Amino acid sequence: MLIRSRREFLRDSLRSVSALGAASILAKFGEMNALAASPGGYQALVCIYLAGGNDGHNMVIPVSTAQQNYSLYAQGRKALALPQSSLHLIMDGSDSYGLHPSMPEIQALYNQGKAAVLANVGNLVTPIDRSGYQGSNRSVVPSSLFSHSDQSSQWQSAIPNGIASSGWGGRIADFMQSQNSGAVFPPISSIGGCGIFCAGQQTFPATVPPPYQGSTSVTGMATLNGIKNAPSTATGMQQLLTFDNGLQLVQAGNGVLSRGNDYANTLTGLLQTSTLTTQFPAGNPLAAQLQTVANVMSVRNSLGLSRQIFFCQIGSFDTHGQQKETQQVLLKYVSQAVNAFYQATQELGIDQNVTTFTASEFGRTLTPSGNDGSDHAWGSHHFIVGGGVQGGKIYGTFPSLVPGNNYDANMRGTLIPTTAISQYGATMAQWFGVDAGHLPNVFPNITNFPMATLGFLG
Amino acid sequence: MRVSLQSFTLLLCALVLSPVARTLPVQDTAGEAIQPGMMAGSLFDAGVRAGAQVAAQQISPAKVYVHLAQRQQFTSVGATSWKATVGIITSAGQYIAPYVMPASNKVTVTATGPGGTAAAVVTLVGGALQAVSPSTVTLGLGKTQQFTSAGAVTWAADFGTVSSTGLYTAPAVWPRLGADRIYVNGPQGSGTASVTIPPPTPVITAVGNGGQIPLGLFDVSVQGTGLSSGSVAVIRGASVTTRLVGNELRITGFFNKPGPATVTVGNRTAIGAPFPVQIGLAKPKVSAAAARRFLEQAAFGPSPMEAERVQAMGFDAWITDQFNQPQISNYKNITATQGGLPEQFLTNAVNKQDQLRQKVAFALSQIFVTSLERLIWNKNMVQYQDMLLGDAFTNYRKIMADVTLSPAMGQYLDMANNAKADPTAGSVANENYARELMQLFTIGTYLLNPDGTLQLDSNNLPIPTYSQFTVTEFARVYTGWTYAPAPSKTVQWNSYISSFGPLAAYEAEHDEGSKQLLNGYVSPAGATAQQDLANAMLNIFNHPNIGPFVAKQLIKHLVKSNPSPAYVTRVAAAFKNGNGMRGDMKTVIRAILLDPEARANDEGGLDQPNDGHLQEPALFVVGLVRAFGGHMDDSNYYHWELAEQGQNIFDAPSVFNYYAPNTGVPGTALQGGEFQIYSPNNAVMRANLVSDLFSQWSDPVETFGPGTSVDVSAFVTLASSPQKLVDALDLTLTHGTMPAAMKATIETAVAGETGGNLRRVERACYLILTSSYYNVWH
Repeated sequence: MLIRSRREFLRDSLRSVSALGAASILAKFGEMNALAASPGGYQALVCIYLAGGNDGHNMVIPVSTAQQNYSLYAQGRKALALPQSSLHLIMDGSDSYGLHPSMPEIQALYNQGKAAVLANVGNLVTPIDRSGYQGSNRSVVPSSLFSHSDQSSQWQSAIPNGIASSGWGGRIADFMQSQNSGAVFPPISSIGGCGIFCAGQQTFPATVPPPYQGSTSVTGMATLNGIKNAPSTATGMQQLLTFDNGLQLVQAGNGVLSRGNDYANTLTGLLQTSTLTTQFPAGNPLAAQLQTVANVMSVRNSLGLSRQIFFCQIGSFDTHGQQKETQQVLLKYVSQAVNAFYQATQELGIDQNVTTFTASEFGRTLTPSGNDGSDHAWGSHHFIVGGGVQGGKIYGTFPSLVPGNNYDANMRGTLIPTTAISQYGATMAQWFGVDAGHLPNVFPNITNFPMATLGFLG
Repeated sequence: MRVSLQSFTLLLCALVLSPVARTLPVQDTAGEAIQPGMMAGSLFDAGVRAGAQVAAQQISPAKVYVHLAQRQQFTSVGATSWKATVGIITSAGQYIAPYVMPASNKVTVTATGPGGTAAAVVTLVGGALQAVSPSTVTLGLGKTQQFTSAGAVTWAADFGTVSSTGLYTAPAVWPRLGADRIYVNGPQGSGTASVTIPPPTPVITAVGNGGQIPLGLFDVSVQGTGLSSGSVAVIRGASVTTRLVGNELRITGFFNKPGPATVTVGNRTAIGAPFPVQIGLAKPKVSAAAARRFLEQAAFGPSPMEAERVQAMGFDAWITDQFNQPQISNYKNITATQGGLPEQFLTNAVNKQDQLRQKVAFALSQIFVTSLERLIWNKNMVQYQDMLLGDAFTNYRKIMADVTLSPAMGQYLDMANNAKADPTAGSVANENYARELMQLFTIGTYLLNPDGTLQLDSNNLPIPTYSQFTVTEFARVYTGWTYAPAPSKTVQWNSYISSFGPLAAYEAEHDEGSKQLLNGYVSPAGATAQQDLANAMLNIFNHPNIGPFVAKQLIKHLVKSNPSPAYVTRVAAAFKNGNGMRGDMKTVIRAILLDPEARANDEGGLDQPNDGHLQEPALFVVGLVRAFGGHMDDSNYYHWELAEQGQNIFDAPSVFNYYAPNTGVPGTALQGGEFQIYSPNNAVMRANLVSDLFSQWSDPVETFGPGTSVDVSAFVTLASSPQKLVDALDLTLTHGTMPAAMKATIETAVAGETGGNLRRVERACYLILTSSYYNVWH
């Protein structure tokens, strides 16, 4: 039985009575950048944000490596340890690691060389170890460590100290405007609640929510339905959207509504032509978002975009309690959704041109808390997936799992990152086309690190 | 764990829709609508209750005279087929007599249904109509008249009553056209007589509350005699909308100029004496504009009645009155299964008079965040929100204490069943509640100046309020609490969530070591769970940050997103030692609402660039219904609208609320947390929410779903003049201070609307309600 939501019903019934689309009445009131251009091939970055602080300790586990092994892991993890037999083995040279039991698809992509692991990456001002962290110079330590909101903002802005007004996704897009000249749509699309990552100095993101479950629409984007067949109202609305009574918040509100209308009118029509057939797993909230990404990618030429950035998000990773049960479900979503999305990029013939990566505000303590969970920590492991990825390898330095070691911020296996977000981001920015000289404009503290980029994209 | 908002929403939509579907008319194959009652008969009697005793099929009327070529409606509950020996009968029971008299003038009509068959006898008649005497008569209200008609079988009348012997009694209330009609059926078929009822002259004895009519939109009662559904009412030379409710005449309209006036009511030519009334207040304490703007801060927006109360009492007395009112709003009729909590929140906010309590409690619910996302037993959310309503006018310290031991917070941030460190298991105390209580609920992460700005060290860097070590020490304080047992049962560690009251101490799991808390304070070793907790609460409550921190949070929810440091200083001082007491909520609330910065622009025209705050979705919906004095009940649909727009009430995505209060606003240097959930797509959906409500084709009662309606009839009568219409909506929605240029734009748009006055009202409402000028309350 087809169940339609009430909203779908309303939307369709309204559509049927309006002969005239809002697009033709409300011309463009959004601003769109159209700078001088040089054409280039298509490239896209897709950020998958694991909100709440994903526990990396149980996502990539040392089984037998030069410095580590499963029993060291199990000693540190105690009741949170996963059985060795449940892990999906991957190799990095002669070292063996295990992926979380819910991630066989990522294991397969890794083994095909389409996925890589970046070990112990996180917010850093400058390289630092335990003694530096415990020292008196606070300016070398990211501010408000272990706080969700602050660490999330720092991850997304790559500004670990001070107040950020833009994110690195937005700033990358700012630098690539010349590649998107003539575009009729913003270069950044937030599919799932983007924070500061998507905000540039000149670039505003479009919000493109996935369709409501059970809906036959390609996205959940709304178009203005109140001014159809009302030309004088449409004119009045257009004037009010430029009305200035001197209040900045009123102006900001006008900008948001203008862009919302503009983006929806542009994209909704174009997506009718999407021919994507790759099946995405049902009932998987991340898969629905990545399917929307793939659909938007399928009309990239009509949008006039040769560089695109997407932000997807899946929550509930703040596993202070019931961690094993929760993460088992969530990482299954991630693994299956990423795999389907990779196949979709193959169908679209752009698997070499799309790089997907995970992010999260922080990792979690190795040692458990009192409620079958773990607490907020710092560095963690992440995946990079795509045809352009030099996969089948672990990048960065895999951390010691002995509590109290030189890269533990306390005695709980709170990893001090050995690779910075800025390096992670700069590697992708350079692949995306930001030239090396401009990397410090996007990642202000990149010069604090010996290597600006990490090589996982060749 | 909840999987996704979409699937959850869909599930509930299905639950909501299913009972509706059963009551909708269903199309049968012939295209005739089968009414719900008929469905019930066939479904239940033939199917569900098969084998039960079934009543014998009935038909009505059982005996009737019908003229040739005339129609007669028969009814028979649950009938599935109809037959007539002569003439035609439809599947809906309507009999059509033949044009020519058949051999026999007797016809049998048979209905077949769940109770078997039932038959009626029709006697066909031709020639003259059944005669009635007298054929016309003039009667006063309630008077009687004997009618006669040879062999009469049935009698009826449109308004009055007729006995089986033809004694007619005129109606007590004057019918709209002053005419009644008598119907008779007899051997000659049907016949009629007419009654003329001269209009009575209305006599008004009372209007509204002592002759008082609120300024702006009003809906008041007129009491007296001679009132009818045909009564017309005139005030200041303009007719207002009337409707008869029982014996009262309700009049609705709109006046935006205060002063004395009269109400005159008439029935056609019989016009009563003018009755003196007062529109608005003769001597208001504050202006109409100021009262309305104040209620955007102190309430869920102004309603015409509440605005008049503020005008009558003045700000300070109104606040005192609100403080003295008992808690009216609650969630007591929510069952353990929890359907309808968000809907009831909206209903309370629209209707219940304890507005200030509700507004403050809603702000508190967004500071001390718990969420249905992680509350597996939702009964605790009901208790939690009731608790915040009850605590809204107490002391911040009491709120901290009540929240800390509430089962809802116990579950949400792992305060419950937080065990002391276990060296064998390698586990330590859970840091979740310890961190968020300080970071989000009380003092924040950086040291603040008394004006709420950041203190900076010699390197110009902010100074942390506490370290990770402090968090681990507080985590140890909060060990050893579990859910309360049932009455007379003993406390069990790791017990399942209950609603038997505050968390209970379980000393064996409490860490008894000493703890180094804030500002050098040490909670000594050997303290019980309760002692330790009391020490920690006092330690946090006495931290200098709490005043400016709480002041800023509450100002942002009630008044503006970007308060000046001076404003924060004044409110923080009230927190510190208002009324001789630290943390007194009444003092803090009064300081916020009566501050010169909050009241500066009450008459309009003094807008500052950083004024105002964007209405969050809940305020937007509630505010617009209240502005029109509209109706909302628990069957409203807005829970889903709000969820789609980022504010799933009491179901925030994380402890960071629906939005973070310090979110930067795109394109500005200002903060505006509400913008975090005002994405471009959400902005379009909000505009569509307005058009979904204001989209009636002909009925001026605008509705969205069964639970929400807004009556705009008073504006329809004004809409012939775009200027009058926009003036009226200005007072209703933007406290009468809308800039002239904006008014002119809307007037032009309205004048260009040719679809009639209702359409003009809808377009004007749409333009104002979608404007950022309205959406940013300022």
